[in-house]
Amino acid sequence: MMGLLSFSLAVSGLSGIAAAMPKHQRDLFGRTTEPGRARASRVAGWLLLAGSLIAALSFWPVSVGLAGWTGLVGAASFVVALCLTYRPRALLPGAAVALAASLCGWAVQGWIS
Amino acid sequence: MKEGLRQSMAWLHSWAGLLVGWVLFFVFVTGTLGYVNTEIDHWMRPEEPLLSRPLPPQELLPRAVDYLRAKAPDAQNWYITFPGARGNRDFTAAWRERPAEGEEYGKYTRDRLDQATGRRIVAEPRETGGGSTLYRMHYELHYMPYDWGIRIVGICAMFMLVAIVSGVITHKKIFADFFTFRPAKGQRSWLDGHNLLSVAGLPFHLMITYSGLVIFMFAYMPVGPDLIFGADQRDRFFQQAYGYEPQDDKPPAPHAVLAPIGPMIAQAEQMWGPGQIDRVSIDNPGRADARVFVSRVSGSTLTWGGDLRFDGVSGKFHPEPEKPPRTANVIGDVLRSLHEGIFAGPIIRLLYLICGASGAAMIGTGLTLWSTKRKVKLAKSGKAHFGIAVVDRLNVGTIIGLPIAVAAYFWANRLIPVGLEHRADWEVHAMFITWAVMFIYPIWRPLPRAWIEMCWLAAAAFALIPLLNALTTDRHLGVSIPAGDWILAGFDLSALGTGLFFGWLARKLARRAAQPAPAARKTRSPAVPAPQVAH
Repeated sequence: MMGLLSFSLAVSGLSGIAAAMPKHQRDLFGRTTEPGRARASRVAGWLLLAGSLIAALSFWPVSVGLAGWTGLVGAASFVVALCLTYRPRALLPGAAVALAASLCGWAVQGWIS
Repeated sequence: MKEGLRQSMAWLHSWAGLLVGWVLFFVFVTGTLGYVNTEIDHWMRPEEPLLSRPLPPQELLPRAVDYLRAKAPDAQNWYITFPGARGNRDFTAAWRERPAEGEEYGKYTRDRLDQATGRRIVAEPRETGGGSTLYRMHYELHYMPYDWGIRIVGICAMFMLVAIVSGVITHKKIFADFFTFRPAKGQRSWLDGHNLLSVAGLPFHLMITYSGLVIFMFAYMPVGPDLIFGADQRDRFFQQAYGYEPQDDKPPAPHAVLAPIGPMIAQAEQMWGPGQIDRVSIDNPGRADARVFVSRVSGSTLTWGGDLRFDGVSGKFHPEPEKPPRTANVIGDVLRSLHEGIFAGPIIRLLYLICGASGAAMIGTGLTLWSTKRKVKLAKSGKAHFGIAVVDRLNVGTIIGLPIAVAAYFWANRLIPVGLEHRADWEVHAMFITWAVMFIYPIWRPLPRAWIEMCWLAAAAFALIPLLNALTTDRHLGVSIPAGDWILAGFDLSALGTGLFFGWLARKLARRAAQPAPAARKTRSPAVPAPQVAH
């Protein structure tokens, strides 16, 4: 579950970073956004990415976690890029749903055990 | 330098990549399959029992000890592996005898034991190279001496490192284009795809290439140690660098009763939690200098050394390591572990597979890009070029031909009669004969047709594997899924998935070839008929 959480955090983080790039804003929103909002989504993106690393390190032993997280982020960037190409409008809602679902899953798992 | 750095790096990147690209594609495909070598082994030995829930080590241990006591009471080492961990499907007892006069090592024997009775399992599965043969090909190739194979792969890997670094320099907008993929735009799309695959997997590509070179560094750069220690003093160098000890010829210590091992693994289980014990090794069992090592399943760190050490007579636990680990050793272990994914559980193993496949795809798109780019230039001048035609044929023969050859390897495993002599060799021959045919076939076909037809062949070769399995064994999906043997079922389902992927690719290429090249499009996709070349 923690692995899934780390992955959806990485996808959300990278989506946030992509949403800060004018090139992708047209795909995501149909227009470019004002600089303030772009900066906010960039910051949020990096924070989510940091959260993804924390989740990975709590899931795996530290050295293993660093290696695994590198791979997770690579796979996540691939997902984000393909989504931006083929389903740009679905990227941000999709990332939010995935993140919410894995957060719920994590909470439920923690509550059960 | 007349040209800018970026142009010269682009030149270096495209030629370094082309020169070794075909070998590297083979290395990446077989190496990626190596991450699931034991899973492939399991599928290729259908006589083996289905995966079942293993009994706990506490229950199995006495059976193995009794077996070893009866078989080899005075061995130099005993090794007991418990089933459960990846690649450790069997409950085994192994031993090494004391070396005879004039020998360096004693004879090693490994027996598989029945978990319930502790008796030796006599039935042998069919002779097969399994996934391990594919895995070995990625560094030693095949049909040539080991020393040649590792050196050829080593030279290619050095070119790979050059191609990676020069590629990063050539890439104009690594961050701005991080998420960019523009499909159906011919050369532009190939470049985007190549960049995306390369950048997303960059940490893996760098790590895998560099660590692969480091694993064989003394084969690739033998001069350093030889200069300092002398060419005949390799042993002395390895002793100093890594702390390897020479075999000692001490006479065996006097007899002593072996301490009970049950409490030792109980202590290990207490420290590590359940399901963490992988194996027990006993040095000099039944002697006064006996030692017992309990080893942990991999996955807790990037280094080895999850061993607990006990005195084999008093049973006393020694928490401190026998000798402090050496820096060179630790670095070597970490790089090797990263390269081989020794620590990888299911998620990280899946990521390794994805990264490895993205590496193969990166090389494939790079090779295609090389000829696409040149064809665009040639199309303007209206000339055909023999060299590009050769590269095109080698590309399709490698990129689609090699997967077909791998499928042929799996088909051969099921179709070659079980009793045939040199059966495992013939599996490999089947693979390489198929691959050779896949290089010959596109010579007589128009290039786009060759791509499409070979994609269809690959689709059929993989998608029919579950059916072939069902017709030739009783280990098909109808058995493996209900039994919960997801390794066996996973192989069949992955083959089916691979087949569907090639089918999708074939349809995509066919649709592209059917479209007339739009005049507005400046570049040509490789599926559009290329200038024909007379052979």
